[in-house]
Amino acid sequence: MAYDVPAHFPLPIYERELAQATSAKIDLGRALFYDPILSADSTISCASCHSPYNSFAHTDHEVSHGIHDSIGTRNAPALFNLAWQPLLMWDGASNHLDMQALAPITHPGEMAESIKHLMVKLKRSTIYTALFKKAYGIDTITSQKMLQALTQFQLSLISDQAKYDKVKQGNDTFTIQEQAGYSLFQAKCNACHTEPLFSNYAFRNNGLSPDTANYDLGRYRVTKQTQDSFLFKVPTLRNLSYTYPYMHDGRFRRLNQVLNHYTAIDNQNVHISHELSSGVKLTSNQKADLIAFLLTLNDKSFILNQDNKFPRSILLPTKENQH
Amino acid sequence: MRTAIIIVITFLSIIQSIAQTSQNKNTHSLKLLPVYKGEPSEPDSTYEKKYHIEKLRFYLSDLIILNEQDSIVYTHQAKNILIDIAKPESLLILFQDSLLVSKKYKMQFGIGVDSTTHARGAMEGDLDPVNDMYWTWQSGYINIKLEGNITHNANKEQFEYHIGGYTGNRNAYRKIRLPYNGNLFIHLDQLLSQMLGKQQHIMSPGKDATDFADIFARCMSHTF
Repeated sequence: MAYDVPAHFPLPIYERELAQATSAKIDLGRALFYDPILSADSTISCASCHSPYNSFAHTDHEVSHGIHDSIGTRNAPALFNLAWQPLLMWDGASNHLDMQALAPITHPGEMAESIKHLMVKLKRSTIYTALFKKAYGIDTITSQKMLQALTQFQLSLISDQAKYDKVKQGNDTFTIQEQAGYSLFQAKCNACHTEPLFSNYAFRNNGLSPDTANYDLGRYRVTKQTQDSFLFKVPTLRNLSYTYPYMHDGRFRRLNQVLNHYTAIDNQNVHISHELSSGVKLTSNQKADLIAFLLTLNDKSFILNQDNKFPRSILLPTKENQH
Repeated sequence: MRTAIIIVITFLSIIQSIAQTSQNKNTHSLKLLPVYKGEPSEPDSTYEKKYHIEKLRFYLSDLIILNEQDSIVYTHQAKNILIDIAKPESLLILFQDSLLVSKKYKMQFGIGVDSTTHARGAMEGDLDPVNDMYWTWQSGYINIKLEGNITHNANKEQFEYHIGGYTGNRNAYRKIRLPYNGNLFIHLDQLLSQMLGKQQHIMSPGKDATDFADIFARCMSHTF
């Protein structure tokens, strides 16, 4: 199951976990990811807000909705290349992928389930008893193995087959416009959206005005340090065509709006991160070039990968047998 | 005559060594004794007719015994032990190895979960999140959970402390070193008197939590 890190990628943080991956662990994690059993009333699964067709984000939703149509406060981030992310969530509240799942499962507005009760439900299930046995050789299901299996599935979501990757590997070439966009990208965006993952995974203030609905303080919520107010994690720019709307509150629906935001930044704003302190200047032609380059970061094979989708044969074995 | 003396001395030293072994090389333990003004505290007790502790749970971690030279003579196998005053069995930590101890020996342990363990991902046993000692809205173990209420006339006022934090100056893990005599008293009266009326709800990492952790550590002793 070993994953071959492409030559142009750095070594993953979750190298040990990737080395421990087996198809049985990933299958178990995949079943859990798509199963609404994780929510209190069996209506919401991880995939409800992290859809494989949207690169595991929630297209068309500024913020996501959870149990009983509760409205959340942040845009569901796309899930891929998580093996390289030091901290999870927009504000970095989770320090490990294993522990991240506890947040949506127990959040009263997301899945509203207790870990204790979830364990009871999983232990009652013959499907899960067999899946845990196969994956970890255990007869008694534990929360540790449940969380580790979810991690294994999420770590397996690797997007490294975009046109950009093919160019880097010498198997494709950029068009003139894409190349012009790439040069602009390197000059103006790469400091934060660092290639090849297209994020430095740091927390930054990109000049957005505070959202009026939630007045979200971002990273401050975790660190309680005033200098961290309104800082959010730099998101990756891979798969942008599948993950709109953009920003932590999903305020922009189109890439044009995002670029217009950057060119209109008030560089007198003292809170803005230093990379943007002298502003971003782009002509309309340059914006078009930059967007052409950004589209080379779309990885269609990742979106179409059947191995990442709803595991019908695992979760609905009887139906599968009938076909 | 000389041979007889040697025999007697040898005999006495054997007797002494047998006596010493049976006396000291025992299975030792650490007994946690929650007390209120010197009186043993029972679970779910009300003190002075007004202070009621509903819950006191905390992690006791990295327990070691040190000799006079500060060399480690015993390391407890279980790294993190969840202590719950409502569960008497959790208040007795039996050492897995027998050892010889002297009155000059010391014990060292941590209150809470250290920052390295915090970064290790999902754990089992006492560190399993099903124990309700893990925050879910952000990563982090709750080192100490103290909940209860104070009765003022007919009214009840809640107090609630969920103490944690593992990074930088918000790290609420506390290391304690005390003489080892098998007992660890937790002076609840000192804890309540220093917290109540001042700060009755601490639910996230920060200065209030680290102050609480300092006070909690000072409320522990090997004597009454």
